[in-house]
Amino acid sequence: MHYEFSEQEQQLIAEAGKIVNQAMAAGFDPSDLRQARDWMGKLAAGLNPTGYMDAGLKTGTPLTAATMAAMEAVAGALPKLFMPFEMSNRVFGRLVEKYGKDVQKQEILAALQAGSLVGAVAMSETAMNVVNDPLTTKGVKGPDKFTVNGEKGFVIGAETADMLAVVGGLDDGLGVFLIERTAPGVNVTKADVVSEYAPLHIGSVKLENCGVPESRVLGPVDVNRLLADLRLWENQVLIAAAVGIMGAALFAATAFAKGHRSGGKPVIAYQEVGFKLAEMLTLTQTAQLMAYKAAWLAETGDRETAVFTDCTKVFCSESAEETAGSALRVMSAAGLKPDNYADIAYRYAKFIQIAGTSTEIARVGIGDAVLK
Amino acid sequence: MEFGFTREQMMFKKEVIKFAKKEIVPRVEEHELTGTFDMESFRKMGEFGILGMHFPEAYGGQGADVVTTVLAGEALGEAGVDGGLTLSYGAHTFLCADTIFSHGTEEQKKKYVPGLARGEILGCMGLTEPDAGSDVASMKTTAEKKGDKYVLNGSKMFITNGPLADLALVYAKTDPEKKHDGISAFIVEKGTKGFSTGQPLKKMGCRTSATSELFFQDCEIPAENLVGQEGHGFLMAMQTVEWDRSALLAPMIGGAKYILEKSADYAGKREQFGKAIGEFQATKHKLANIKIFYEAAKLLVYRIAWYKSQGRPLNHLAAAVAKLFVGDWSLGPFNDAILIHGGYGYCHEYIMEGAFRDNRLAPLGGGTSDIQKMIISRMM
Repeated sequence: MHYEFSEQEQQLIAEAGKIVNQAMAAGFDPSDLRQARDWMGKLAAGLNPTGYMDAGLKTGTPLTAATMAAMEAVAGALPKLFMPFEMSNRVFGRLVEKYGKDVQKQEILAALQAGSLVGAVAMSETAMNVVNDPLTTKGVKGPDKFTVNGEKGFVIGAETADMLAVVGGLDDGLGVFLIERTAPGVNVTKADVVSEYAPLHIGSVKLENCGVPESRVLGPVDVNRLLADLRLWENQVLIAAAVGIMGAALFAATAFAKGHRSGGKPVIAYQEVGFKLAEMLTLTQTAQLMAYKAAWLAETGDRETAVFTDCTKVFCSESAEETAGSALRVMSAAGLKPDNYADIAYRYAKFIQIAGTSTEIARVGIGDAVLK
Repeated sequence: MEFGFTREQMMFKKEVIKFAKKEIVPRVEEHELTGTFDMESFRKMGEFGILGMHFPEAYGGQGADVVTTVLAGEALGEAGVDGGLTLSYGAHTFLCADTIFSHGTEEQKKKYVPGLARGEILGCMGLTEPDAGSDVASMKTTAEKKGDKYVLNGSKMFITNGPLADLALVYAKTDPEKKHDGISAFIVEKGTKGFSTGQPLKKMGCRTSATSELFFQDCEIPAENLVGQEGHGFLMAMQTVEWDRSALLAPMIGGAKYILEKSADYAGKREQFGKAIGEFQATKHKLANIKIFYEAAKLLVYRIAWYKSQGRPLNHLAAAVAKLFVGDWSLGPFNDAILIHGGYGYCHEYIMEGAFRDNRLAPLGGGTSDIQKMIISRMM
C-alpha cells in the first residue's frame, strides 16, 4: 500500500499539465477539424519526450496510476479534445500494440507517439447500443485482400482520424481492419449531435466494398477478450476525462468564490458556498483515488479490474456531473460564459455517462458481479 | 501508488472475520433487541487481541501496524458485528486507551493500558458537553489544582461506554480563561468520589453501546492522573482524529460490505413474478450503489491509515474528506439495502433496519458533516 506518487511520477503529471497548458496558450478552434488534427499531432509530439505517450503504446509500459493522473491533468486543461486525443492513443494504439503484428506495431505506434498519426476505433453499430448484440460489419477474404462492408456509428474522433480501426466479423470470429479514413469505399460523415459536442469529432462511418490488405488486418481475435479490452481501455479514457473535468470545474468555482465579492465579502465566506465547494472537493478526491486504483488493478492484472473499473466509471462520471452542477450554482451567471470550465464539465459529464459502458449498463454489470 | 494489502494482513483479516462470526455475531440480535452492551463479546475481543493490537506486547498488545489495526475494525463490520459494539470498541481502544498510551506517563501506561488492551477493564472518553459539542473550546467542565489533587466539576454528554466504564479519560479546563490551550486530560476511575454517570441514553441506533452523561461534583483525583501536560488536552484530542477517521470508520466500511453481501444473498433467493428479484435491473442498480460506496469509502479510510502508518503529520483535509464522505454518502446505500429487503428490511429480523439506524451516527459522531465541510472549505 502506498498512497502517494513518487517524485518521478509527480514530475510526469506536472509536465503533462504544463505542456498541454502551453499548447493551449497558442489558441485554436477545437471544432475546426484541420486545426484540431494538427493540434493533436503537436500535442502528442510535445508530450512524447515526457513518457506520457508510452503507456499502452510502448511494449511493457502499462497504463499506471501515474499515467491516469497525468491523463487527468491533460483532460482538465483540454476537456474538449481530450477524448478524441486519448481514444487515439489509449484505445486505437493499444489495440495495435496488443493485437498487431510486429510490422504493424513498428509502422503505427511510433507514428502515434510522434503525433504524425491519429487513430479512432469504430465499433458501435446501429443495432449494437449495448453489449452482446452481434456486429454486422464483416470482412470477406479475397485472393489479395479483404473486402469490408458495414456501418459504424458514434465513432469518437472519426472526423479527424487518419486511420480507423474497424471492428468486424472475420472468418468465424472477430477482427480489426485498419483503414485510412480517406481510402476508397470509406465515407465518414459528421454525426448528428448538438454543436457543443463538435470537438469530439464524432462521425458515422460507412464502408462499401472497402479493400483492406492482409497487412492491415488484426486477428482473428477472441471476441470476448477483444470486447473486454476495448471496454476497459475506453472506460479508462472516460474515467480520466471525468476526473479531469471535475477538477477543472472545482478549480474554476473555487477561484470565482474567492474572487467574487457579494455583501462586502468573498462569496466563499458564505457557508452555503463553502460547503458546496467542500462537497465538490470530497467527490473529486474520492474520484481521483478510484481512478488511480482502477488503473493500478488493471496494471497488476487483478481479477477485480473489470468490476472495479465499472464502479469507477459510474462514480466518476456521475460525480463529475454533480460537481459541475454545483460549480455552476456557485458561479451563477459567470458559469454560463463561453468556454467556462463548469459549463463544459457539465455537458461532457453527461456525455461520459453515456459513452463507453453507460452508467446504466455498468450498474447492471456490477449488480451481476455482486450476485455471483 | 499502489493499493494492495500484504498477504499477512489479508490472512489476519480473515481470522478476525472467522472469530467474529463464531464468537460475537451469534449474540448480536439478543443484545440489539434488549439494547444492552455485550460484555462477553467485548472480553473475547480482548482475549483475541483486537482491543489493543497496535500497542507493544509489553503493554498487552501485539505490535500491529496501523493498516492491520484498521483492517481488524473493517473485519468486525464485515462479519456482521453491530455498530454499537464496534463503536464501543473504537471509543475504548482509540479514544481512551490510545491516548493514555500515547501521552501518559510510564506509570499510567503500565497501570492502565494492559488491562484496557486485554478487555479486563472498559474505558471511555469524555470530551463533549451538553453545551459544547463541535465547539470544544467552550467546554465548562473545570479541573482546579489544589495541592496534589485536581478537583473536577462539570458534566459530559453522549459518552460512549459511559455507564459501564471502569475509567474515563476526561477533558477539562485547567485554565478557563484560555480557549483550546486551557484544556487538559485526566484519568478518572470508576468509584471516585464525586464522579457519577447518568442513565443510559435511549438512542436511535448503536443501541448495544451504552451511552450516558458523566457528572463531576467536587471530584478529587490525584495530580498524577493528569495525562500529558496541562493545556495540551486539545492537541491530544486532535491526535485521535487519525484513528477516528480510519479505525473508527473502518467498521462502517465493513458494515457496508456486510449489507451488500446480505442484500445480494436475499436478492438471489427472494422470488417475485416468477424470478429472483436480483434479476430485476432496479435491484442490480441498488446493489451496485452499495458496492460503489463501499469501494470508494474504503480508499479514503485506508488513505488516512497509510498516512498514519508513515508517521506523517495529520492531514486535516484528507481526514475531513474521509469523514464527510463516509457520513453523507453512506445514507443512500444503507437505505438501498432496506429497499432491496422490502418489508423484511423494515423488520428487525433481517438486520438491515439496525444497520441503517447504526449508520445514521456516521454524519454526526466524532464531528458532524457540517463541521467537516467547514474544515474543508477553510482549507481551500
